[in-house]
Amino acid sequence: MKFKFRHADKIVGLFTLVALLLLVIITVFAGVNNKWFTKKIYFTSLFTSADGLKVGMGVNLRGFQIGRVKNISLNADNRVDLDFYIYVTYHDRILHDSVLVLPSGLLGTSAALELYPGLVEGPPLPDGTFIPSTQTVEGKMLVKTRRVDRPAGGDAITDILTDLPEILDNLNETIVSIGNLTSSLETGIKGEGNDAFSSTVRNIEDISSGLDRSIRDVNDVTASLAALAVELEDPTGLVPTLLDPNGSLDTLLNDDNVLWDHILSILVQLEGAMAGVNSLSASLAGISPQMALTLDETIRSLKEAQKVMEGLQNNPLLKRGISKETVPENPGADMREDEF
Amino acid sequence: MVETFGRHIRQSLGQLSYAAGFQLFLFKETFNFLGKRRIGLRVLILQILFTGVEALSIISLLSLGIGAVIIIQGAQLPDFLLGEQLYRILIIVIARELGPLLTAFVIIARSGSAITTELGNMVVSHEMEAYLSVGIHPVSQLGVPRLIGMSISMFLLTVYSNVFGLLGSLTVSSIITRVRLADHLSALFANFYLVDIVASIAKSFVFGIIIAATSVYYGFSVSGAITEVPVKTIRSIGVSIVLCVIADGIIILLTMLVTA
Repeated sequence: MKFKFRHADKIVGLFTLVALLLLVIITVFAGVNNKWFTKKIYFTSLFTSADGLKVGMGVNLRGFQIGRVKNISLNADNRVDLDFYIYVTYHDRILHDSVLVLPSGLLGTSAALELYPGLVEGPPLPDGTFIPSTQTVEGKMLVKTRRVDRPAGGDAITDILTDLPEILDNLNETIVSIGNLTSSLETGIKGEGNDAFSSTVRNIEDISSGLDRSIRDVNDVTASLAALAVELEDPTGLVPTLLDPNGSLDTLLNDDNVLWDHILSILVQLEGAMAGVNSLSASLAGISPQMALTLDETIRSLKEAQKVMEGLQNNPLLKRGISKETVPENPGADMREDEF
Repeated sequence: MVETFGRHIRQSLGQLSYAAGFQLFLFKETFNFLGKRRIGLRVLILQILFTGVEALSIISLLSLGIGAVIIIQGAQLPDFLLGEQLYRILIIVIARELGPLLTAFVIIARSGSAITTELGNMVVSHEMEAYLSVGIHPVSQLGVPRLIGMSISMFLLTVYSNVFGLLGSLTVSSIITRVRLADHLSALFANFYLVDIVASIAKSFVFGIIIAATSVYYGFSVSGAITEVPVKTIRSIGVSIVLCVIADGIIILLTMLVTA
């Protein structure tokens, strides 16, 4: 009889036992590594996107795996609900103000979530508690205000990678602001907007046109000066004649102030007249509001009268209108006008 | 033409009905066998010996080779050997898919065809009548131990296949990446989930039952001519492969539904 038939029972028994032993070893090792037999404390969190999240990914605390992601779902507000559990061994580390972080790696997001425990002393958070993520405002504030136990980065690159999500958020906001500013500049330069920049641009345009006018005036003055210079150069011109020692100007300057006194008296009279004009204009300014009021009232009254007239015109009882006014005849006058 | 088509349909329905009845009887007898285990135990042991032990060498070699080839081919992809994904890929490909399916194909080719041929030849040589004449139903005596033996062998061989496949891939990976095999194994176990183990075991048992039931059915379906035996054997192999692939798809869907 062949060996294998003679010892068939033993061979089959060994074959079966070894296979079962291997299966048990695999199951036990997998169970121990996955902590199948460890009690778990469940928590929930909220993310804005499921990118980088997956069921079964680890939850780490300073590099140690302390839990796993149990479930990911999209809620009614288009946010991502995340259910995860922490092994009971690490439950005492999950304090109030704890935050969940999805770190950025060199090749995209990391393979595990990071948990920053809160710095508040007290009992650990109970089963089912909500722990915010850094993708929520609450989580960001907790990290910014340093209320969490956040590990210091080992090097500059690690620090940058840790802060990368926040930096990217800020960058996005800056880009949006630049976009808005650019569009404002475009509308402002066109002078179409209603903001301060647009009105400033419009003012600059007005100032430019005013400047143009001033430059034209300056040009005119310059032309006059040029003409004066030409006159001065001409020995038979008006200016040399005036400046001649026997000319009119010399006569005016050497008349013992007779002309000057006369001009001065005229100026005094003019000053008095101007003061009168001033007092007149001041009194006019004083009564101008009353005049304006009176005019307003007159206009309003005329409008009312117009309405009344219109009403009377449209009144069916007065269709025939106002009877024609007859001028009474004066027989006496006629008589006087008669020609005899 | 209509008459031919109708006759064909009637024959197909008749065959289907006969096959269903045969399988029901086979499974009923299997439960009976488990109740009175001493009957046909020797046949069961020998079936595990032929199907399981004798196929161990080829299954081990094949699994080791395929595990190694996956790593060698995968190493050409960037970052394939560096991330945690390596372990999940190995577990899904080897433990959940390739291990049970590859083992099933080997068993179909080796033992399924052998069962059909053996039973077919016994029918041709009127050994079935001899069993019936002494009051033993040939399906109970010959079919049931083969069904149970093949299912157990399939399960045990799948365990070996998974172990050798994963060991082969991790050994090659540790040679390429210079990471210790123990570290690789630790990471592998950390990525091994209960669903992986359950899916692999479920597939192995289902494939074993499918191969055995198909092979036994086609063996007993030989009606008398010796020329029928190879025809039935070829058909048995084809049907077993198709049914195993369909069952694989159904189990994958069920696994996805459970894990979703």
